[in-house]
Amino acid sequence: MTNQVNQLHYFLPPYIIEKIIERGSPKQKERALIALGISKQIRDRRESRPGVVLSGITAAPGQKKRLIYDAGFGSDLPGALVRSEGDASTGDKAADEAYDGAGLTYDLYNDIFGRNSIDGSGMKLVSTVHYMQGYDNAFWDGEQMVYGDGDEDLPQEERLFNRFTIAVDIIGHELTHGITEYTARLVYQDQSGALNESFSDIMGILVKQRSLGQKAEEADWLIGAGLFTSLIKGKALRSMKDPGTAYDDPLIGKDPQPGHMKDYVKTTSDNGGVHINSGIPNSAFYWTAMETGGFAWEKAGKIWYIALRDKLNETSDFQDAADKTWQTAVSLYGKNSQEQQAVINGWKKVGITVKTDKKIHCIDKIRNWFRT
Amino acid sequence: MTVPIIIEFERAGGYAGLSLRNTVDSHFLSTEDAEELGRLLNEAGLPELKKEINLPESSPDQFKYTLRIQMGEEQHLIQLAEPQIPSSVRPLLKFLTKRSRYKKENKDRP
Repeated sequence: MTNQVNQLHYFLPPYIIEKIIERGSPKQKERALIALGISKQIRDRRESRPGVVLSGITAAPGQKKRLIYDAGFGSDLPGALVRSEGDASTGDKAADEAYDGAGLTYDLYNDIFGRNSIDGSGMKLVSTVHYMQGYDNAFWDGEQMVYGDGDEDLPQEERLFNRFTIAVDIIGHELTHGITEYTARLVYQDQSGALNESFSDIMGILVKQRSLGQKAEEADWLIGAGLFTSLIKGKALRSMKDPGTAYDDPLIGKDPQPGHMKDYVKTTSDNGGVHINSGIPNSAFYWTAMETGGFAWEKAGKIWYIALRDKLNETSDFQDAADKTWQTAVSLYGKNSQEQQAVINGWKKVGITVKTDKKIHCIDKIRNWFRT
Repeated sequence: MTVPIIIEFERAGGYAGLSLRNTVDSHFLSTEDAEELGRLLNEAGLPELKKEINLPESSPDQFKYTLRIQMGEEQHLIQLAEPQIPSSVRPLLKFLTKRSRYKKENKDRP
């Protein structure tokens, strides 16, 4: 058993450890608990992950370390360093927006959720602006955030996209992809991919609302507002409040997002429609936040973050997300609380019934015990 | 340019989730553009270009490209995903993307 204990936290998945805790001898239970605690430490630190190189420099807890690079409209990353933590504004709007947005996102996670940067251990926040020419996109590449300038290479009268740092929720969105990579690692395909996208939209919108001091009922719940130029008939890229209504334009078409499971889009494009079907969990969050009221990050945001951090896994689907956010709400606020009811109601609005008869897994109880 | 070229181009993914699709037919390009397309294809290394480049796992919000290329009698299917796109292919993608932008469906025909 000794060798098995040494291996437990490296090779055995949590559900097997859970079985040992439930059915093992007292000694086996003791060792499984120890292994689970070690697993949690490893998961939090993410020291060894194939294909991902951890940033070399880490900041002290609660201190952000932002590095902004300029790709000079080329494709080499990260580019030339133009602003470091604590430096004065550069005067370059994209660079300064990336700097400020990363800071606001860091502050949401640190101040509200107690998370020190992307990896939970003070990972530096690297952003590159002016990526390529006419690049109408922003993305997380596994180590950093990358932002294009839209279609700045076109004449003004033909431009559809502004720079992708223009909306702080876009920055929060991309940075959150990094956090998802260090927590639930939702596979970027089909429903798990749509959840991945949804968590990024959710956290991005919370960054925006917090920066504006807005309560749930005061906010517009629009993702990417300001990204489109006036040539596009649309208020934003996505609407969490009313999926499918953000834009309707003869050039780019109509916002395709569904807001209910009955309208779920089955497609092979876009990794199974991850940017499309994210409208469903986005809406579930919106309704939950509206029912809990106040600042959305305080309760709904906290529930969703802890579910992402502790409960969801690579293949979680919408049903699993509904069940786990509910379980999180129960753990935080009690099984008869208004908050857990708000989660149930939020998911019900989008056509998903939370399985309240499911027991909170033993594994989650144990994790709660070890949670700092 | 003597070999006719038809490329069905698709760019999917990205933060905005907006797909670009276009068919570029050398028959309907100007002489200058048709020659440039041929040059870009040569620079990209067809037909030696692998059919899939870094496609299996997609990082969040990155673009994926699909090119169905017909050159005379030859047919090629190329799929690429950011960020590991060979520098030799980028000019071709830039050419195709520029001709596909801001039009949901676009065919290079008069």
